[in-house]
Amino acid sequence: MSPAVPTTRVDVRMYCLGTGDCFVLKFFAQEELQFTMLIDCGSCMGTRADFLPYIENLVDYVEGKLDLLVITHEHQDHVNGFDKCLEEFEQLEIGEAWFAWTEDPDDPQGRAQDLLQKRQKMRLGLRNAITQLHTNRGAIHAEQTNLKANEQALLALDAFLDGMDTLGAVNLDEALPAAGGLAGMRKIKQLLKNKQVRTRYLLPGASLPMPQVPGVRFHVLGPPLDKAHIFADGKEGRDTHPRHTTPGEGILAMNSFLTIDGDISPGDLPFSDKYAVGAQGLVQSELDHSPAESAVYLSQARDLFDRYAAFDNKWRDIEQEWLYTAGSLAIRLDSHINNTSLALAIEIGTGGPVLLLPGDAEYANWESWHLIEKWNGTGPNPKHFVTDLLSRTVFYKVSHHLSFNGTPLDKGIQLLNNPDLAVMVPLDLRRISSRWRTTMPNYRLLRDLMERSQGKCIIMDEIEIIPRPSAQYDLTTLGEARYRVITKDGQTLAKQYTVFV
Amino acid sequence: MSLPIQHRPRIAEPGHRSLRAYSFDPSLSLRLDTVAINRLTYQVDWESVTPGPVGEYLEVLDYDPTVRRFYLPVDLNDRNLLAQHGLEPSESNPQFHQQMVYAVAMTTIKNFEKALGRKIQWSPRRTLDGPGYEEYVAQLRIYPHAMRDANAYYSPLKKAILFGYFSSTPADDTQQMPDSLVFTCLSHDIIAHEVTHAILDGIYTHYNEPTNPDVLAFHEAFADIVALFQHFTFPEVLKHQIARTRGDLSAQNLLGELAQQFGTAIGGYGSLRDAIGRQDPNTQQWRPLEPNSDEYRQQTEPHARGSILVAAVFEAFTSIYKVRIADLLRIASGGSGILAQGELHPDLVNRLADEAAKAANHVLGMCIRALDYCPPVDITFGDYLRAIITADVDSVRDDRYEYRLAFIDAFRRRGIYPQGIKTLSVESLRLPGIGTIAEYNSDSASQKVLTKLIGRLREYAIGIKYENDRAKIDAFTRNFIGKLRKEETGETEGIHQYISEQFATSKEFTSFTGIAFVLADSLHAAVVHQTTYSSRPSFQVQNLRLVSRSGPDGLQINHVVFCLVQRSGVVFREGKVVGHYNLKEGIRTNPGDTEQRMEFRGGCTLILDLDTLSLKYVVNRPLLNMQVWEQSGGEIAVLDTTRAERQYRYTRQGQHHHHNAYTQYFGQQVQHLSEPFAFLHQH
Repeated sequence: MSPAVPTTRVDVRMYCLGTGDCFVLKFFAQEELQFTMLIDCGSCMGTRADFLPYIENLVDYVEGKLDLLVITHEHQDHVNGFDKCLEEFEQLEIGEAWFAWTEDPDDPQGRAQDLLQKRQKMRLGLRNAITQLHTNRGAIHAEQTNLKANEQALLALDAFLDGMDTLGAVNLDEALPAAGGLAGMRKIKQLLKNKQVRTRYLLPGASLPMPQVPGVRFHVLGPPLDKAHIFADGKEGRDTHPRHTTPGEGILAMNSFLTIDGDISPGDLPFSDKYAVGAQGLVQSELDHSPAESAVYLSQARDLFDRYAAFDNKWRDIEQEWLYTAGSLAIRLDSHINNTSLALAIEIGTGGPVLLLPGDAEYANWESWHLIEKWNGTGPNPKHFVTDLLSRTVFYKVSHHLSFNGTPLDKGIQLLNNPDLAVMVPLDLRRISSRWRTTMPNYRLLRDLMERSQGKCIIMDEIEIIPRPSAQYDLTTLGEARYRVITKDGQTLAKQYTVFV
Repeated sequence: MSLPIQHRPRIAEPGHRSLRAYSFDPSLSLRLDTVAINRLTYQVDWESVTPGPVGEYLEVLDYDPTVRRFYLPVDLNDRNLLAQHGLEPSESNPQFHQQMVYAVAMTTIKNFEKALGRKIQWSPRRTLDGPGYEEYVAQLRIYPHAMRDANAYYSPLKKAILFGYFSSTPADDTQQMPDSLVFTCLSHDIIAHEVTHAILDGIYTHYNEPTNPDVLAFHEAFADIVALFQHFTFPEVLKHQIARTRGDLSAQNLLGELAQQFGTAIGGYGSLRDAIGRQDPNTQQWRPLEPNSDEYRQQTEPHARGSILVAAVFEAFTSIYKVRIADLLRIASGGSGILAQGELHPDLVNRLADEAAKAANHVLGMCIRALDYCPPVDITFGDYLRAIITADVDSVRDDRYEYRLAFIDAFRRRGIYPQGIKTLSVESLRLPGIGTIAEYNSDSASQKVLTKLIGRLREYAIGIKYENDRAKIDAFTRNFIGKLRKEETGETEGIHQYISEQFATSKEFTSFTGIAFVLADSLHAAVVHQTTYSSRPSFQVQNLRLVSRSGPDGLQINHVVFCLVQRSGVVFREGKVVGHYNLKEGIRTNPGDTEQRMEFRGGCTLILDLDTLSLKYVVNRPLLNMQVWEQSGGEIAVLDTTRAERQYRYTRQGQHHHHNAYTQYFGQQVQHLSEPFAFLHQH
């Protein structure tokens, strides 16, 4: 391999594991393979057996060696492959591994550790809340079910549990949350440690070269450094309220989930404990009333408390409702982890074509790219460098599986105006968590991407997507050299698109 | 000689109970410019209460499930507490929270009763499917600390209001301490808002079902209007503001402005007032927003749409206020109408505040009274405008301050018109009078049926007029509607049976109610739901009430109002009506089925005048296609497929039009929503 030869093409292979990311990029100088990288490995659905055919093909395809492994963020649909197929990954030789700075256990400023700790706490709380909800559901179900109100309560609860299960599927392991995060993330980190692979935690604004591919630069766009962007949920404007973007409020609710089975200490109460009536019930000596009145007060207060638990009044109790707060926490956890996505722009030769690989970055992550100060005015006439990179993007791995918040408008898609643009979408409506089906794909975004890529929109599986993109543009007309579908025994294993420089 | 004890002077029960509370929410007590107006002593009608407080209407039960603890209930009868107008406002005392929630909720309830001229009832609990299986709910339950969330909502299932608390991380942390606890039950607006949801559910329970983009928006907007104008009825709050803005409530309006600012701590609620005005980012001045006549057509999200209605009513209010104070300003300015520089004379401030409070009271009353003139299902903003105008014409003869025009103008500027009228004026907007049925059609048999019905309703009025016990009112009303005929006399059946039998005698009744009472042809029988024990189309009599009130110029109304509601099970294929199903089979179809089901409702509100013995108005939303019915001479009964298909499209589309991420993950399909309000304030 002669170091002076520039890259002439990149093969991007999307493994069709189900909604989730697993991408192999191979860089070539003419026919010579220069560099192989893997970005993520996971899917919303599937067992080890389901994963194996794909991973075996992958191991084959990379010829046992990865120059670079990139893990964008800690969601099951990006990392669970490393858990399910750990043995296969153990066989691979890995040159270097990149994570976002948010994964750095030794972040000198302690920000990453703080985030990881909060994430861990949120996972524990969520798991507790979900368990409690299922327990309550069982209890309601066991009661009389012929009541209309009861049936409606169950419907509401089921709709909620469905959402929790969807978010849980991506954010939680089936086992109790363990320190160190999701099993896939934990195991791949351990593997890298065992193999003594050089591991880097990247900060936005870095532009890294790799010796195998001279002239190629890996620009780190995100995740942002400030908390405000990591916790922002995207729909900026008067609809977004700051209370949703910081963990502060979350922690208050979270604490109540963490103590769900435990004892309550006075510090857990919102008021001085002199107002609270504990398990021992009302005791006369606790009251400030004069004795004559206190007896009356005592019996009236006891009557009132008894109403709460009385059988006839059970339909009015509120044992479920407070657990619903776990829903907004789950969304916040989910959104925050998406925003910790390591977002890369690979520039092939100065001023050359760009491959945009943003993980599942949401709006705030995208927005922060444009705020990287050192890139102010470093693009032509003097634009921000990110604007320049986006305008040169010829390949875009669509963020967050075509959801509305994965690709912003003015900070994102409206800047993707290169005529050679092609996009790949890791979305498969057969293999997806149930509540994602309602927002993925976002049809407006899909339409826009179809236009901008002039039809070069490669979806993992087009099932249920109407109209089918392939009905509007036949990808096979691109020719074998640009577009291929890799199959085995009639099963689609991967789709591949080639970027020519 | 000494008098026996029973002849000695006794002190009568007080007229009201004074309770201190915040006039907005605690955050305004931290700002120097608003601290003065943030304390208010609410004058709550006296009633006997037990610790909780638990009274006739409310049951405050302070159980906090997040820590599995009760908080000690406040005893409003404690003599120390009575002597100092309740507990001192304090965020750290849960007993004060209970007191405030009680005071504001009761104030809201009484405002409704004053405007409606009757006692309000909570919506009954449905215990089994089908009509009749309902249980009376005497008290609305209030949980002041129900969850740790920046949310509060009325639960129609539990007949309860759940208030949350959370630690705040404000946009502007100079206004609030970060991570301080914020309690939604300490906000006047949130309490009034949620209580209004509960009251509205007690009147029109079908308004919980989003059958068109206006329905949930109406629920939200109406609740916000009540919360907003309830503020304005406190002159103490107004005086401060009027002195500050020199009387111009519209240019720099603290109440509008404050109402919005209060969103710094608790989102969602203030946002309905965004259409009133906003802060200019450059000058930091608050400015009213110019209305846009396209808004109503374009906005579909419930909050955005609701804010249009709030802004319209608010504009009507400011117009009315301006008219009312024009003379005061002339007097104070020596006839020029232009006030001199400097602060206003305190007497003038007092008079202006009185006028504003009066106008606010009137506007609040108009908005509430209009409820009696709304259709029982599928309301639109246009219906509401007609209801406001008609209700006002009925109770105020001489509209010398042009209140009605102010409303019409404000609605017109936002593109809100009722369907099917050609010009916008008080005359065209007022519901068409039906008069006696003889005028409508000279069929004397029908007239007799109607006269007899009104005679019945007169008995109802007499029976109910002096009854103050809400449970007895409910029982009496239920019995009056549902009682079956005594075999021996054949006379005393309830009005449901009467209507079912007698209205079936003439097609005219279907013509003006839009309700099918008889379906001659078995071919059409499937259109309207039937119960198993009757050969006639089934319908419900809902919300029978006596409306007895007198207007400001002494106009006395004695109306009886009730609603008829009818259902149909409709089957759709590819968005088109293709047939009907029996409602008993339920709405669910199997996944993958090409046919979908929807429960579809039609109904009418009948307003009968007891003094003239006439049917005064009918507001209907028919189930049937009335044009086909009329043209066929009452022979062909088919569904109003246009409306059914519109509703179908709206509810299906709703699945892809989530208000926010929360509803995306956790919401139910719009067509069977159990907790419609739980998610509205989630973001």
